[in-house]
Amino acid sequence: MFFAPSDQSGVGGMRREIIRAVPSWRGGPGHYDCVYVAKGGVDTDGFRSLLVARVRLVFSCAYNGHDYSCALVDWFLPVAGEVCELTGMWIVAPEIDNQGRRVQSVISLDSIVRSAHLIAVYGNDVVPIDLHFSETLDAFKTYYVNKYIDHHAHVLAF
Amino acid sequence: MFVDCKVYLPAIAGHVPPGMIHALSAFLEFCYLVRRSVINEETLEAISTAVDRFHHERTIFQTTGVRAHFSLPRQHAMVHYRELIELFGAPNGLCSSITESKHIRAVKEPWRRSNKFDALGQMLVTNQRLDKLAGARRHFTEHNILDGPLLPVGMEAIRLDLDDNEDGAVDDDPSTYVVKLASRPGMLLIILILVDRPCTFSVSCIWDGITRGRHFGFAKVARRNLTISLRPTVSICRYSW
Repeated sequence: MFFAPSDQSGVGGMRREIIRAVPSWRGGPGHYDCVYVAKGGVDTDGFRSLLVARVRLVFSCAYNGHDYSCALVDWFLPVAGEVCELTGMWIVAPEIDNQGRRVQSVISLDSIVRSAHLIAVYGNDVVPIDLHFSETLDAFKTYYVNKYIDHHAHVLAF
Repeated sequence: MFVDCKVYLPAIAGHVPPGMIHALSAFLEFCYLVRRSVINEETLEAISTAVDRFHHERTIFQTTGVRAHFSLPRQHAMVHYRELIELFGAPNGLCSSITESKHIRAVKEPWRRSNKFDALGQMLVTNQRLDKLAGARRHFTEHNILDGPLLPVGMEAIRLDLDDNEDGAVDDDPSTYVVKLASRPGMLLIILILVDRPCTFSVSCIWDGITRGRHFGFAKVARRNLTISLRPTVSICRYSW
């Protein structure tokens, strides 16, 4: 759980979001959220200054007397240097190394901006009826970074 | 429209004509731009662009026969956002559904007050009168006219303890008091029952001396015991002559 800074505080304090990375959520299938990660060291704004990743594990470790809060993430990379002409959204694809494995990293929780909504580029074929929603983020080749999901995403991922 | 397409826009991409996707994305763009807390020149330009794009692209719904026209109030309202934001600042997520709750007071209640025959005129008159009353009340309040008990000139407000049996007898039930009439001749008692709002009250005039001809109309009331539901505050004013 973290505080999302793009809303003013209300009577209930700052707006909060929960980023989940659990193997089983409420007795059902696993739940692994996607997040925006700040690139750092770039001079651009909007989506060019961000990366998209899916959190696989949230953990902390102690080193030299400091606690480090970290996350293990799967990366997604933009497929083009521009937004999709049709929808105005960025399209990302899972980053895969030359042996066909997902590229993973451990990042600091501080570099996570907020949670992201990825929605599959469904294409023109019929989605198999037995595709479970928990497999959505593994099943497709490319995903839209949905900047229309809420006004926070809209100011981040343009 | 907004709630649906923010999720389904990607889902319908490729399944409907590209113009429709463009129109919807322009619309969503507009919605999120005007929703921002901080709107600068750049945002205003982007708002205008989004509106123009939407107006240009939405013709696809006409050419494909989905809609015959676009005389839709909320879509028309989009063209006024920029000017009104410049005049009054960012709406900051204000929900236009507020007009829907106004609908009850401005339309439904006046409709119920009408006799349902040619109701529109009656409803307009009702609204006009309510507006005037509200205006008058505001004016009176500003000039402190509504402060204190609202008594005719020459009357003096006193407060009586309800247990005081000299002017009124009271039973034990706290919400219902049987006010027995004052037994002193030559005295007019006006019982003001103050209800929750400062100037809404009901007045019972009780006249004890039957012989006083000019107030004879009240005599019938006077000879009965009145059962009145009272709020905790009861002011009894006494007018003596």
